[in-house]
Amino acid sequence: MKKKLFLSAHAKIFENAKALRHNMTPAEEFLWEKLRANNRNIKFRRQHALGNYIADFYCHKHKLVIELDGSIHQLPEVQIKDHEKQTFLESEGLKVLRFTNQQVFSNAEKVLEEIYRHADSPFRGLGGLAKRIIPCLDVKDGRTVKGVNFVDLRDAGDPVELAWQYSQQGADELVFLDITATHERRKTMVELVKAVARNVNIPFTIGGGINEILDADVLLNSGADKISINSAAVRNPDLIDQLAKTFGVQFVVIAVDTRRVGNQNLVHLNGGRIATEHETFAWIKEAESRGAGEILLTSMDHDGTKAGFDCEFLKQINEQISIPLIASGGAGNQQHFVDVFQKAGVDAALAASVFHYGEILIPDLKQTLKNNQVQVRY
Amino acid sequence: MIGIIQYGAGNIFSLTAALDRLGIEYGMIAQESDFEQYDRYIIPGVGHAGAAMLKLASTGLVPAIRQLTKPVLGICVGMQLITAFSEEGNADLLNIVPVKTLRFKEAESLKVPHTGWNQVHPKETEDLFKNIAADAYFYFVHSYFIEHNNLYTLASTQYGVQFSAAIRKDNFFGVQFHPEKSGTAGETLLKNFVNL
Repeated sequence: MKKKLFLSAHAKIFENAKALRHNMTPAEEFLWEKLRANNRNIKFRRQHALGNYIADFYCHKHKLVIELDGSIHQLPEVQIKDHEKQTFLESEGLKVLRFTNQQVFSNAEKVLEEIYRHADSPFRGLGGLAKRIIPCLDVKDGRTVKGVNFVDLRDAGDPVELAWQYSQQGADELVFLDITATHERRKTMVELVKAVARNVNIPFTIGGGINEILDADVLLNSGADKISINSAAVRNPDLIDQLAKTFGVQFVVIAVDTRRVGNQNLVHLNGGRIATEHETFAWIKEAESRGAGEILLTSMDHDGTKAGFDCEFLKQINEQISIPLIASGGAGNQQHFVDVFQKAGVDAALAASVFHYGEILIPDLKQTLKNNQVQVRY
Repeated sequence: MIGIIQYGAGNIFSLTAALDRLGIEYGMIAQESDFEQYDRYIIPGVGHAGAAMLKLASTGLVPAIRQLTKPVLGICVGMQLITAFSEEGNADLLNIVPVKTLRFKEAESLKVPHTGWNQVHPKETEDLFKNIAADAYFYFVHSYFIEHNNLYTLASTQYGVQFSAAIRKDNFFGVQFHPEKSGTAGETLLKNFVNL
């Protein structure tokens, strides 16, 4: 028995609900046809058992109950019962919408509009937690660069100015990666981090060349909200435990570059150049269990292609971890972002060149996502 | 002028950077005699609530904090410290606001830490949220939350459960989100705190 779907309803309630389904009022029939016909991917159940009560209509995904009131609901004793029912449902985190039969018949469009508006409203489930759009600034020698598959680098500007512009445009977060750090053993970009923290009012992550607690400590105290660890974690997984213990899991992003090799997904290092023996899913689970607060997963097969995110693989990973997942690699147009949120269900999507070269403007992207019922901050 | 209580829990660079951008003056409080120089106080904090409480207690500032009568703002773990208890390390805290700090329960599609921008719904007519939209987004990153309480919850947010995004008791305020990282909404809140 799915407890949450029915709030531990008793067998008797299920029987009653079943009987009611065969005996719907004309108003219920009328609205049911309309709800079934909706093309918004919002699935309702009718006469649905919830605890000791039966909801006329219920959408589990949006935690939304719809009650239709005929004239009997004007009786005081019925109103008291309705109130008790509503109080119970709301205490379980559900939203209850009430309409009269009259409203359903005379103004169905308005009723449906109200229902769909509330399907997006905040006080349920994940609340108003927005899907995040994250521009990634690859930095080399203090300048932002991004090339196709990390080769053929092109200069795309001053990172601090770019960061400020992104924050003004509505970016939710920023990631700075020193792409030269790993193989050139370059140390961190403390001055850059400080300059960003001074000028930008949104959170940001810094990655590249972080090998020990001391590196992370310096960056934290320079204003970084999170650090991203890639190869250093693969070489020394215990670093994840140490970082989580010292700074809290919220500070530790594990970046994973994955590439398909034969029928396996393998973790790669150094910008995808070096394959490891780690199977990607197993490594992500290990990182999670060691104290990663978030996973930044880049599909190297998709990165730079602008052909879309690897939604299928991202979905598999996303469904099996309980920390946030940032999708990366392959963004080419706005629809790719819609897809990665709708199909893979990831928490955030990261991209670089499409933003840096103005191919996608963040305000436009947010509007497109909103139009597609993806919760975004605007 | 704001006095920031220094007790070694997390970085305050971002907070002071935000105050600098807003032209709000501030200084650091390291000992009891520093309190009188300021008329507003911020308790910052990230990381583990139990560990943060131990650090705060070791400064010897706790009795003075309890007696403050001017506005105090706890941010994130700094907010959790003014509650009674945290499930993080099963720690007894300052108990200035008699509510509990609990861990998000494991649930389908509910990822922990609660990371990102979520909507904050203040009670009406709250000066701390003046000029901020009723459903404005603020940046959160936390695994523990303060339970919703009709008496002390100033603003609420939903994430699996409805929890306190902001609390208040008398002159003590707390916000779970990071105003210094929450765009213009966060900056407005910091300005409001100065003008309380």
